[in-house]
Amino acid sequence: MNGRYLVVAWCVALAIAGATTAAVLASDHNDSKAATLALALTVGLSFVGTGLIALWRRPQNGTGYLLASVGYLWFLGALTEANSDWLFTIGAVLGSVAFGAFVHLLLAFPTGRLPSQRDRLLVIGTYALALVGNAALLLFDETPSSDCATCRSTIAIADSARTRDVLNLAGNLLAVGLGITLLLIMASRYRRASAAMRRVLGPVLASGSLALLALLVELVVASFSESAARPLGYVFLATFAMVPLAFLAGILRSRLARAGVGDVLLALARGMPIRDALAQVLRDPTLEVAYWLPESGRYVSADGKPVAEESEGRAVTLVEHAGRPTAAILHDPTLTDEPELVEAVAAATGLWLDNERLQAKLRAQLELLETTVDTSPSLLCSLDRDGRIANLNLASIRASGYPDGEAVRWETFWDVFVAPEERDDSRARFENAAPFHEAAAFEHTFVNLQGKELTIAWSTAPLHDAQGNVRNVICGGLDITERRQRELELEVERDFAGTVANTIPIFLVGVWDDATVNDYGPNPAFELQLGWRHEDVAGRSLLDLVHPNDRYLAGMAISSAANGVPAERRESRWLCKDGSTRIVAWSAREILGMEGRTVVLVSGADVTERREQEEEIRASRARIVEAGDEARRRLERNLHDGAQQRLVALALSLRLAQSKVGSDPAEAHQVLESAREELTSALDDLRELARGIHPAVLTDRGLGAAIEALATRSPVPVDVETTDERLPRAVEAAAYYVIAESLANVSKYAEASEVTVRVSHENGCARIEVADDGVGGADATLGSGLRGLADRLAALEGTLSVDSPPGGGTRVSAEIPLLSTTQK
Amino acid sequence: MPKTVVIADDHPSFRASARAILQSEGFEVVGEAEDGEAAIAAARALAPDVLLLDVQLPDMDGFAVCRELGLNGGPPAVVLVSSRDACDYGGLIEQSGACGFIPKDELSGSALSDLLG
Repeated sequence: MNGRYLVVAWCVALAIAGATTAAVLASDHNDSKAATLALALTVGLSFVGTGLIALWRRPQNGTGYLLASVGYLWFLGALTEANSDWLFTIGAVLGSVAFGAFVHLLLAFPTGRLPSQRDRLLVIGTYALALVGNAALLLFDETPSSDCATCRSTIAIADSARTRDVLNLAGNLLAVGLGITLLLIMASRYRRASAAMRRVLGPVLASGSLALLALLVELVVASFSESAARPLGYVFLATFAMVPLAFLAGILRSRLARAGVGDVLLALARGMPIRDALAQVLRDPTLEVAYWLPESGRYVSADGKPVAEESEGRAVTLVEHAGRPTAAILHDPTLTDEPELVEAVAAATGLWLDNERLQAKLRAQLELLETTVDTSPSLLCSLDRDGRIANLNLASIRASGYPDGEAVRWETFWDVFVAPEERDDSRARFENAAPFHEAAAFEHTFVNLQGKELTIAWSTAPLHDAQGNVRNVICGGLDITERRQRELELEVERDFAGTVANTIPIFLVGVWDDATVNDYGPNPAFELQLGWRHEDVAGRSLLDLVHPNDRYLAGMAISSAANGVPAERRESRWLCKDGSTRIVAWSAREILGMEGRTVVLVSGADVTERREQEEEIRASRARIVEAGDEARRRLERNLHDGAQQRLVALALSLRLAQSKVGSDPAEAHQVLESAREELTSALDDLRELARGIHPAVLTDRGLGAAIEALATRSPVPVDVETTDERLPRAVEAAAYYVIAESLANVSKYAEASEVTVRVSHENGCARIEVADDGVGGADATLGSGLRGLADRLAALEGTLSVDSPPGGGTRVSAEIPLLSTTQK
Repeated sequence: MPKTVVIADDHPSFRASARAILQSEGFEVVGEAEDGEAAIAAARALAPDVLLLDVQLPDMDGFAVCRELGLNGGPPAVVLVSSRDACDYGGLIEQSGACGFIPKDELSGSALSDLLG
């Protein structure tokens, strides 16, 4: 506030004081004018004066206004001394409003603002009680003053002693209640305040409480005896007058503290830590000092730890030295009410703070280094020249398996980190490296104190002192146990995958998403099946190896696999290096490639032979069916042409004989004779036919006997070597027909003088051989008769071969496995 | 006057038996044929009253012979014979224009007369 206004305000106060003096001196109803005047002027002027000083010192703080208000309002009470009844009444109504302002002042101190809703209600209540209480009394009491019988209330509407007493009592009770509440609030506020705050609050709250207490006692006593209360009234007024003095004392106190700046320098000179010295002189035991590190742009504490610049309930005063920020003092916010003090102290201690700052910087760097070393996943150990561990970081302690750094410190490196059987070597190596301990690197596996096996890769380097001698050997290690383990696992997997790829009969070839063959193949099966070597196809499109008619679909399959949709197994015609075409069953599938590029693995197998075999089986089945049909047709024709015709003729002959037997017995006899011959022929035909369907001797007596029968009927002499052992029926039948067909061929074409038939049984296989010494040159691709037999053998998983060099005889060989499931 | 017959069958034994049994019952066998061509030729050359025609002949079957002869109700009256059953041939016999069918083993003069009416 402008100093001029303050002077004007002070002059107004003096004028009011003058008017008050005049009113008191002229009063016709005051018996103790000197005392009244002294108290009124002392209280009023001291509040106004202190308020104005406070406003001068701290213009932003509302406390000054409140102090001054109490003073100005106080003078209103003096109006009761006026001889006019009107002025008396106004004075009586407004005389207590100053107490409202006083309560307001106490609750709003030291900020000048009411901190809570509760406080605001209390203040409003006090003002209301002061105004309404007095006004109500004056309404019902014509002569409210006990000292002045002539002083009349001009607003009285009734004069009732009873109502007055009730109102008085109610007002006093409310005032006592308010007073006690206020006392409690101030007590708790003091208790919760910081030390610095207490220093400010203490005098004000103490004097205010004292005044309140006195007022309360006076009010209580006054309820019983007004005369007894009168001296207490003076006590109250005296204490009330001291309140502004307490404010003044606080202000003076902070001004006096400037003198303490010298003390802090003395304390520092005596070696007191700067924070403690500052805390002492600023009377804030919670004070902290932070130092500015321009390199990292942050504040750190004296021990190098980072400090938050702004924190709840703290005020910051920045300290500069030689034009650059040096430190920040973090202190109680109430100290900002005394900025000169803080700044004076800060300026005085700037040099010390700058020194401290440099130390803090060193400590911060050390802290950074220590943190880095301790949080490093690498093992770091410093050894002395005897190989003992002088220092080690957390990673090393963990690797050592020791409980903490102290337990492992001063053990030798090899006792901690080397397997027992290698310790001597390690020690010898260390000693041989002395005195220079040149940088080295090695790797080893050991079991630590916890029994955990670790593999560590170490590198060591010397650390020199100022004279260039090795002071320490620094060992840096990396725990590569898991990496080793993974490498091993990877190698196992790779070995497995490689072996599989190199040995499976399925070909594997890797291609990029455009079907270009890459370096992920092809495997040996690829060359084996298709004849293409890696160098033939590397960089080429795999689709070049697919038959043009199948190329489009093959390309679709590969590109869909490249897009993550595995291609189903499909069959396509592929081109071999030798120009032939093979049927390949293949599929394509995306696999993980290096460098993030999509790799499609194409795997396939040559199924040409299987397809051909399947085709052969189909053809063979068709031939078997056709042969069966043909056999039935032949059978029907044979029956029809042979036996049936003979029987028809027999029937006709018998009919003829029947018709002749009466008229011409001789003729009938002759007809019957021819009929008998016809019947014999028919039976021969039937027998021959039945043998053709299935030889009864084979069923009844086995292959050996059946072959003997065939040999007997053969026109070429047959030499038979056979086994008596019975074979599965299907095998016997197949063998029989091979021999029968071969013997028939011998007699038809071979011009042989002898045939040998051999049947043997070895290794779960029946072997049949029919060899003649004829002209040879038989059709090796098998005539239709043998072709049918080959089909029959194939159905039993047997084989048939014909060896017939011209002039070298013919050898028909068959092999039939005995354990096939088809031989039931 | 006895009816004249040509026997067309590829089995000599049947031709001999048939000739014997028909002649014994008053038919006059005027010719024999052992295949279809010969049967047609004999039928045209000899103009028999009856052609006893086997259904199964080596070169063509009896039905083809019937078609070739272009039967129009006039002679020869064709009687089909076979060692198979009539039902083996389905409707072929009725459609052939022949006047009947006799299983070979039931052939007799009276059976033939019955068919000829």
